[in-house]
Amino acid sequence: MVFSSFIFLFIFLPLFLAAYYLTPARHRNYTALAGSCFFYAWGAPKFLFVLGVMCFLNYCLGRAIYGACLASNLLRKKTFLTFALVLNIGLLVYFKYSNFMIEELNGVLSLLGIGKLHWISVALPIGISFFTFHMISYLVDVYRGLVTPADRFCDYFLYIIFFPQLIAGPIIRYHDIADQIRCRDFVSSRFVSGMIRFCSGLGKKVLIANVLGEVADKAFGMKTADLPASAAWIGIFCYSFQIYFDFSGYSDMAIGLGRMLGFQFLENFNFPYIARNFSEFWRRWHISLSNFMREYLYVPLGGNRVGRLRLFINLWIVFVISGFWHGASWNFIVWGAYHGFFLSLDRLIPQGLIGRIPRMVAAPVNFVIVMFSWVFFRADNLGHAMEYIGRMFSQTVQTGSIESVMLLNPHSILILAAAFTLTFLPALGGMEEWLNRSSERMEKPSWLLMQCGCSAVIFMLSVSSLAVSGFNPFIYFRF
Amino acid sequence: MKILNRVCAVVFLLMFAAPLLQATLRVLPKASLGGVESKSRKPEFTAGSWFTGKYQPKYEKWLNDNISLRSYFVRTYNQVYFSLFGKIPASRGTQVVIGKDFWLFESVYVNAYQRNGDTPDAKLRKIVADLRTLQEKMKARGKTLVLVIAPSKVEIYPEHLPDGLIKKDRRQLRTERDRILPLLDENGINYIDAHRIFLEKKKTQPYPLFSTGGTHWNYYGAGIIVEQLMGRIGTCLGKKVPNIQCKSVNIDRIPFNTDNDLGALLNIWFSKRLVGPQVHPVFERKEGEYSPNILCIGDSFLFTLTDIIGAERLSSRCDIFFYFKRRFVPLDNAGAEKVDPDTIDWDNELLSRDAVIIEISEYWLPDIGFGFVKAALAGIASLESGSAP
Repeated sequence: MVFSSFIFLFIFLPLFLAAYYLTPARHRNYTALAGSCFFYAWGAPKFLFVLGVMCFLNYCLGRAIYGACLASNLLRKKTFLTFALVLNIGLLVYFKYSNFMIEELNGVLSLLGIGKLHWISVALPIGISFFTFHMISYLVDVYRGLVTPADRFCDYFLYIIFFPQLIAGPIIRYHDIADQIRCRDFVSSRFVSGMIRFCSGLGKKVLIANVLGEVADKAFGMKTADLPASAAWIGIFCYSFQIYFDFSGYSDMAIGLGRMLGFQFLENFNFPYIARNFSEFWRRWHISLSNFMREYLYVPLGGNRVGRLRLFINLWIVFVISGFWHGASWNFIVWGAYHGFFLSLDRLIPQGLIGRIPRMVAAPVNFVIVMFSWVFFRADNLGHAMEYIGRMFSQTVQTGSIESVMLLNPHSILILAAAFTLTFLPALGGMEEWLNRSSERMEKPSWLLMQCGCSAVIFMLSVSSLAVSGFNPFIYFRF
Repeated sequence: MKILNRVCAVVFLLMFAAPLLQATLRVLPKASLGGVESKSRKPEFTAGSWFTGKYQPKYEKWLNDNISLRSYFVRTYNQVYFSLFGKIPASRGTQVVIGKDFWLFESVYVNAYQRNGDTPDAKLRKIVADLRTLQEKMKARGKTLVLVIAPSKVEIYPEHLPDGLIKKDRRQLRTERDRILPLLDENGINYIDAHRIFLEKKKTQPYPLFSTGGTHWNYYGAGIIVEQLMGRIGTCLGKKVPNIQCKSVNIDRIPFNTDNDLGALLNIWFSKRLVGPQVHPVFERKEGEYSPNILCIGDSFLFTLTDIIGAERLSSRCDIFFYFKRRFVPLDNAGAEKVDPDTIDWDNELLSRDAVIIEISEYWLPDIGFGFVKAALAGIASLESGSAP
């Protein structure tokens, strides 16, 4: 179930919160675990058993690694870690990438005139990209001695299956949450700030992302031969905001839910489109993925402590893998490579020079370059992406069955303007700092009441919008 | 501050629990939504259906359609949207166009207004030829058939459409009505063109023939057509049948029956100011010597016609085949029966009648009778050959 659904908002969440807070504090992990298992079983009942088995294996491997640490047996420690990583990555590759790889292999075999391999498509377990990373984080953190293994299997299982971050992140490194699983405070102010954050995320998703998504879907759904340049630009412009508000909105909801339950997750977005360059963009966009990749892939590859050529290779490896992690398709790989290229380019430009360019100048330029990468992310495949970019610069539109395209209406224009303002307002001097200190202002009653009031309005509009999207009345039955 | 936080926490929790509380305690009155929709049924839970993932999406669909406070949510969003943009959000159902002075139109009629008729000529000729055959067979038995072409509100009152909505130069267009009328004349079809009558009446009398908030003719407009219709039936049967004449009108802001069917579809909170003057005719009944037995086939424009026929007792019996799919008896709340063309007793349903009225809105042209004409000809052929059950 998704957070922006009636079953989550009005059935699961209130009943779960009631059960959670009626449970004595020392047993609340069990309630959270039961709720998370139900949450996962609702969407993917068949895979709950698979996930449970994977968690048990990883928990045992974690304990084995820790045992080897205590025995100072480096060889055994490395062996267990290697085995665990191969197991987890192997399962991720099998479930997520085997269909793609077999399809590509069959393409090559066809070219060579050899018969195709017979393959039954593998279903993708929900959240596998995220919980695999969580499992890796746990094992590596134990290996490095940053944390001790979870005292109980249920605490570890909770870390993996915890419903606020199970489906779409943020990616929570185990060492960031281990202490909170063992012991956390329950404070009403944190609960309220969690609710406010959740409502804000819901509004971003439903009131902004969904509306702009309709415009983007129209543009990307058109035959590229019939797509005017203006429509192509409007489409990708809207998609750039859609993906930001959708993803950051979902992260806000996850962070808000965590706070409601006493957890403090790290931020996942920090006004990414005001970044001056790609390096800064990735310090602001999907921060949890950047942290994970840096800590568990980039640094082990050598990080910044290598020569310049090796540095560029490392960046490309990390971002191609990041791209591939997002989806099993060539256009995601190209998306990753595109970001790897511009990140490498950043390293060639002196940082002082970038810092001297006013943000109001550098940010829009960087935004446009990032926007092009989203074409690869949104397009159906690589060919579609290339054609779409071609249409963005076309002078003429082929005639035929062209219909006049009215992508925007007053509603979507208003939302686009709101999205633009919310995205780039922090670029104004001092605004970003002012916005990031909003939690301090929550100590003031007037500010708290205003935020609660706004959140209630956003919530009401969001659920009303969800209700209308499923309401399609006819004037009469026409049989 | 602690107390304020706790109060806020409770308020938030109540917000999320509101539908559950409403379903249990029924604090707020039930607010229905205008329009009809296909609602999903609550799925039956089985372990198998859960495990295969079939139960969950069906349950979510059912919950979305039936959650408490749904009507409040829909009306609230529609009201905000309407207040900001002057229209309601697009849906996959009936689209409402809000025109000048809050005249409401169905978007399909607006689209048809700008479209050339594209039915092949041969098909049009076949339809009219079949209609003529049926008319002749009825006439041979001393019965009459009358075709009523109901007008589109857009065609009669285009001046109330929003500016800029009509893109095409209509002087070049030929609608299905434009194409079929000459064929009807050519074949001697007995028809009443309400479109032409309404355009003439619009020039000569002050009352609107459509209500501002409805997609159909109002009772005043329908009354004009009923008067024409009964006169035509009497002439064809050669008998003096009851009829009506509009003696006076009452004007208020209370819509009656279908007068505000589009307005109801807006589903906003503050809709009263959208309701324009409603014309309620007062009919004077003229006695006749013979009350005909009538069968009506048509679309939703029939409701007002047959309401008047029934209320003013202009017929001995009047049944409706709604789109030739459902059977209604006007002013009878017994409900609708499904029509099965294969099991119709044509002797009873058709040949025992004095008059058959086939009504079609010009939007639906050329689908005259919605399959009735072809089925009736086949039924009559069976009776004539003696092979009918």
